[in-house]
Amino acid sequence: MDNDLTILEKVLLMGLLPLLGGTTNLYQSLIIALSAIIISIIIKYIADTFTFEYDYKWYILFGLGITLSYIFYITIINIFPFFEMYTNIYLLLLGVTPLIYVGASSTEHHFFDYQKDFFILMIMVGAFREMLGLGTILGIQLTKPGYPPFGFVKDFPGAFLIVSVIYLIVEVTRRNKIKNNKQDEGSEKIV
Amino acid sequence: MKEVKKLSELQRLFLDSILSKNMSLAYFLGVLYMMVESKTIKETTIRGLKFVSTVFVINILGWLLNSILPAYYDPLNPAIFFITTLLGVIILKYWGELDGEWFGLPRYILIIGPLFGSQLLIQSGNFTYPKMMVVNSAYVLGSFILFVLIASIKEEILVSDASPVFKSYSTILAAIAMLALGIIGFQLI
Repeated sequence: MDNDLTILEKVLLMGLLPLLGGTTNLYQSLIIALSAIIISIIIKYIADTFTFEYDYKWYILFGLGITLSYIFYITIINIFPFFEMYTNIYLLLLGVTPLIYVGASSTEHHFFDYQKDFFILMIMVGAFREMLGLGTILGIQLTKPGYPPFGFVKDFPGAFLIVSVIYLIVEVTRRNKIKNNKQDEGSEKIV
Repeated sequence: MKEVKKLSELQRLFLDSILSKNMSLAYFLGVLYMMVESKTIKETTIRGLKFVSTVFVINILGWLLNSILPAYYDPLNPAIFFITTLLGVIILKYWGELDGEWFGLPRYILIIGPLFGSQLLIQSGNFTYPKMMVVNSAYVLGSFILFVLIASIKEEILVSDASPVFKSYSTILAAIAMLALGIIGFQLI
């Protein structure tokens, strides 16, 4: 299960913090996902300027990550007061999320694939949790107020369940695609 | 008719914090599990004990330092937590648990997040000493139980006849969700 993890699985493990905490609704997911991606890009390009590979390189980057997450938190609250209700401690904790340091690794060459998968996952989890857990989408009421289809989805256990179901769907699609490709290759050989 | 005994405030806080509202676990499960996970349940149990005991001690130390200092030193909290976190890293390095890399990231960088973040979470709760101890104990106990359970579930999944697509992290996450829902059942008492 662990020897050959896909990028999606690594995103899931390293980015579980915002995936569970920062996805109560779609607005929050967008804010957290975009902030995380911008911080990751800044860290990647700063790490690229470092010409040394000592331990303290990571401590500097970690300090930078925490500082940037605080700056983002303060900036969003001050410039976009409307979004204050959608930001919480999860934005402050972006600095301790391993996923934002993935670009600083010299052995990892799929930085933008990680960001793409992370963004898609965040949006999907946020949208599903808002629709099922609150009965709304982007604040627009879809069901009778106070009667969401699956109220427990807005809480921590529901978040795990939604992440696992989305992951399962993606995994089934991916395996089917690989299977079909192999079948196509096989039929071409027969021809 | 026998009177139903209500749970006390601390008992309810303990039950809440053990899994369904275990913020430390919610935030850092992925990272902590990567650090603790081993080939056998026994190894996972031993490593899990080392990690959760370090988190437990560091959380108390961070809370004590934060409480001793006057309120106007609060902006220094991140610096205090960073120092206690480094102490935790030193302890775990001494135990030989932080050697090597995980897909390009040094393992000691992965553990900084849970150590730093769990102190921040406890501080953000503004707990009194008894409540802090209850929440801290519940956090680490919940994490430890879950590590061992995940290791057991994983072993079962790998040897089962299930389709390969179910032999993935999605099944583990679904199992955690079910466990958390079960714990919520206790809160109704």
